[in-house]
Amino acid sequence: MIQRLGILGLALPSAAALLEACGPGGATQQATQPTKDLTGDLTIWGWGASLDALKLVDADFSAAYPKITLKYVVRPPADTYRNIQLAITAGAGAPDISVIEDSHISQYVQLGALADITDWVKPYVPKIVTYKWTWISKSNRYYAMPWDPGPVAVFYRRDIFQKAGVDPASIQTWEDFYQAATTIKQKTGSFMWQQAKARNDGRLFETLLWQQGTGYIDPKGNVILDKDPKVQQTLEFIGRFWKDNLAADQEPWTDPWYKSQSNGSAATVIDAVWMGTFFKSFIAPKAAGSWGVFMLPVWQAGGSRASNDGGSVLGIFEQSSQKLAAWAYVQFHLGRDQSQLQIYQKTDIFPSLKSSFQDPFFQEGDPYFGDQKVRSMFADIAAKIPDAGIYSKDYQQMSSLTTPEIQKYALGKQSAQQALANAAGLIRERTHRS
Amino acid sequence: MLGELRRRIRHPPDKAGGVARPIEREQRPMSVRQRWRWILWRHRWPLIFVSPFFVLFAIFNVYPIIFSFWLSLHDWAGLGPMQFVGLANYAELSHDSIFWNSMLNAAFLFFIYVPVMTFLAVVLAAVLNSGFLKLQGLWRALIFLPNITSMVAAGYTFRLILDKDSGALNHALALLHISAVPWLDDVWWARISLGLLMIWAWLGYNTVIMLAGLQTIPKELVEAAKVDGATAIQAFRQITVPLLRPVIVFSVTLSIIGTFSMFTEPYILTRGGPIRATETPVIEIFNSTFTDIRFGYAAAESYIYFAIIVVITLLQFWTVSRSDPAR
Amino acid sequence: MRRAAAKPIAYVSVIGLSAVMAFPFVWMLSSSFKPFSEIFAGTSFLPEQPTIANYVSLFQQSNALLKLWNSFYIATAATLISVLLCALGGYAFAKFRFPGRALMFSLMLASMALPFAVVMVPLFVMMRNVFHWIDTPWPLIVPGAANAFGIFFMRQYMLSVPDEMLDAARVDGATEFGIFWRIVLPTTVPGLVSLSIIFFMSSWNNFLWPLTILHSDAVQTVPVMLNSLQGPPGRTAFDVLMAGSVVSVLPMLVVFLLLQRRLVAGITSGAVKG
Repeated sequence: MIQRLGILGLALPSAAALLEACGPGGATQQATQPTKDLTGDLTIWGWGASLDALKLVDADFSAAYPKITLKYVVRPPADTYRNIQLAITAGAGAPDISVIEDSHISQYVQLGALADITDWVKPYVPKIVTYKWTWISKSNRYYAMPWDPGPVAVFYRRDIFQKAGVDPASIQTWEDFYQAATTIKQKTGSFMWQQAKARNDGRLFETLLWQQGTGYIDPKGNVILDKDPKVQQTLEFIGRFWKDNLAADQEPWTDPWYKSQSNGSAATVIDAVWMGTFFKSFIAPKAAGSWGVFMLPVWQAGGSRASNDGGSVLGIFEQSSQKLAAWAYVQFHLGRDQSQLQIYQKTDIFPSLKSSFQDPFFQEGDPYFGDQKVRSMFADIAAKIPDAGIYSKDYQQMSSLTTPEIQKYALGKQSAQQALANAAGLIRERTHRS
Repeated sequence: MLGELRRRIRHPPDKAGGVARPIEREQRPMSVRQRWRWILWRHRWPLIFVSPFFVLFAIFNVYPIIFSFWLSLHDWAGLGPMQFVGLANYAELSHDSIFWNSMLNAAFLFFIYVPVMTFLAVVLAAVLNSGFLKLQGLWRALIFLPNITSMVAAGYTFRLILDKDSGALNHALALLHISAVPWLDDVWWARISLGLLMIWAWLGYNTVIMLAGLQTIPKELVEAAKVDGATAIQAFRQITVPLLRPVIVFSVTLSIIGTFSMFTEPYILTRGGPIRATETPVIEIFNSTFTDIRFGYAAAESYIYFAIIVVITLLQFWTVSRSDPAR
Repeated sequence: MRRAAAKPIAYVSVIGLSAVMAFPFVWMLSSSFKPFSEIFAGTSFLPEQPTIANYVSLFQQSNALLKLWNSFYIATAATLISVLLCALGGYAFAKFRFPGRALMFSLMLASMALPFAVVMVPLFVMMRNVFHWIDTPWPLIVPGAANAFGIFFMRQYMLSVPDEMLDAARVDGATEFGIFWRIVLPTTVPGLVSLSIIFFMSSWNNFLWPLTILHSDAVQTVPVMLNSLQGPPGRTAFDVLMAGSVVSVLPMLVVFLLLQRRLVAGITSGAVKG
């Protein structure tokens, strides 16, 4: 890699020099914009679903920038992050561009691993769903380009609901959801959802906190896991499903997990819009029509029905020696309605450019979901995602300190209150927060 | 030690360099400096021969240990400026439940697999040594084979075999009407699974060591005991095992160090989980370094980890020498 | 009667144990020919629809040949250099008396108890900031080049080289290095081979240190590659992984089968003579 970059460095004096000229300090003058003859050999990291999505735009990209070649490195998200972290700490080996989830981006921004691309992305700030900018800015500078938001809803199995005689429209509150879970278990034997015990990853817990505008920390950065009563109520709500045997115990993102979604032993999956990609591509590609979507139930009347899970950005690494070419790629893939829609039409990776929501495609039904108009529903949700203290520069640590405590709670080794107190204590200790 | 050193310097043993040169010593008195120079010159060959080790040792072991201490007094994300924090990292570490939990895990693991493995190794070595079996070499090779395997490959293979829902082992148990065991999804089962992997990987190695030890024990001793009316098992327990003691101690010492430096096996097989039940000290140091990106804290952890290993090793030597029947 | 019973029991238990030891290898091999769906659906021992797709993917998408080569040359270089330096050191400790010898020897022995993790963090920082060796093979070759275990091991071997032989060569006017090279090394070949196998295997299977040092695809060794193989979306690539595991084990298996005796001699010498 180093050698290869060295050679490229020689081949690309113009790009590097141009970049220097407009560099981060770049004063007020206009940033250099990519041109057609721009050369480059870009390495892009990400996981299967995200890279496959980006590749959909590559044909057009190659036509626009014929001299830029692309190399994709596919790894599961956890491996991608580990490799990013190793590369950051090693000071070498980072790609030019990587897909990074909103949950992880803040840490890399704070570490100074990503290139300051403020001058390039500034024009996009008003054009993109606002909350997406939260984690990628530091002292009014921007370090990545937003891609998809992660509006969350309930994916449910129409056949199972029908068999149990449960009307999804009747599920207004989480209490209704719980009642439906009991009915479904009695009538069909299916679990309402999947919640691993010893291998719980805390994602649903976070999603439900996000819906209520709470989380690990408050806006000042103080830990509120053990202070906000809503947090404990949420965990105890999840706990009821474990206690009453209404949750399937499968490790997320493993074969048993997929299997129980496709064979109907789980009646709902609460996840973001991108989950559709996984259903359609490999979990249940032939199950068109059997899945439907409804909005999250509320915690109390009039409460929020929107939450976020995941969502990602494209970051250009400070280590990259071809930042201008990298920007050409990022801009082409994410900065144009056409590209974002192209991706969304094929993959369920949601656009963040507000102008793209005007496309008629949003008003059409999705055949996989029985022609339900899920796209406008997710656009609605995306616009209403509350601010919450889930993602931050310490997200990885907070989440990895909290999940074992949730696991212990799931296994009945401690109470919800204890779990949260322990987690909060560890987080305060390790991230030096109050 | 110093006394001995001085004596040697005054009267360099004649074997050095092979050819004695008494005349040189008779020459006119030399200054200390000249004397040192002369000594170094006279012993230049062995000193040159051992120098690569000590040079590399100084650069890649001694210096890092010193540097590590300096690092442990700082807050540092690996990039950008370091911030001096004094002993704050150590203060935090003293009540860091995750770090101490990882130490405890290593201790649990040690007691889960080392006694079983050592016992099996001794028995197996005795069986192989007894001459009962034909094809001794084949059995030894088969039992040793796992030791040459990459633990990454072995870890993934075990993960597949031990999978709760689709693993071969639970399928086999189902045939025997035993319900599925959560091999990797339960705190204690995960530790046991890790122990199984360790036994699989290291039983052959330890057996080979024990076997070599057994071969140094004169057969007449055992025979004599049997003539005196001891059963084979009695002879084994009362003659063979005590004589094998130094070898057993050696093997257990290796296992202590091995258990406390375990990384690949839990990293691949159990990923430290569930609930951090198999997170070892090295995984914790690795995570502090490369996930939390807290270099200073990781350095402090390394230090305490080192201290604990030294204490355990000393403790073990002390116990062994105290209870040594030969003493 | 007891003897009569002992023999079958010994046979059954040893055969049983050998089967247990061999099972993971068999499973690895069998799974490496299974399509992904069968690996997880599979109750069947042998692949129902055998395929070499996993191997094709391994060598085409993951460029396993390059990684095998990386592993091979790093292990070879590390082994050759270490064995030479260890032989030199072992020779000095076995056949010379020199000031500080006892002190140096105990210092060296003590260094064997130093776990790698203790120096991992500072060493990593040094490799990055001082040597600029990240993503190069040097960190896997140089720091471990002189190894206390190896010196101790070679010393044991060198002790048995007769002094008369060395003295005779000195009288003939041979240089000290010449004696080492032409007399000592050739007479300790078995020891050198044993040590080489041990070093080669530990380098080949090393994981933690290469994982922190080798990041780019082109410089990775086999274990690091295994850890980052690409699977079907959302899954760990157990299918390709098993093929990769087989590929990682095979070379060691060949070495082992050819040189088993020397390896065992190497392992046991430390335990029994020490």
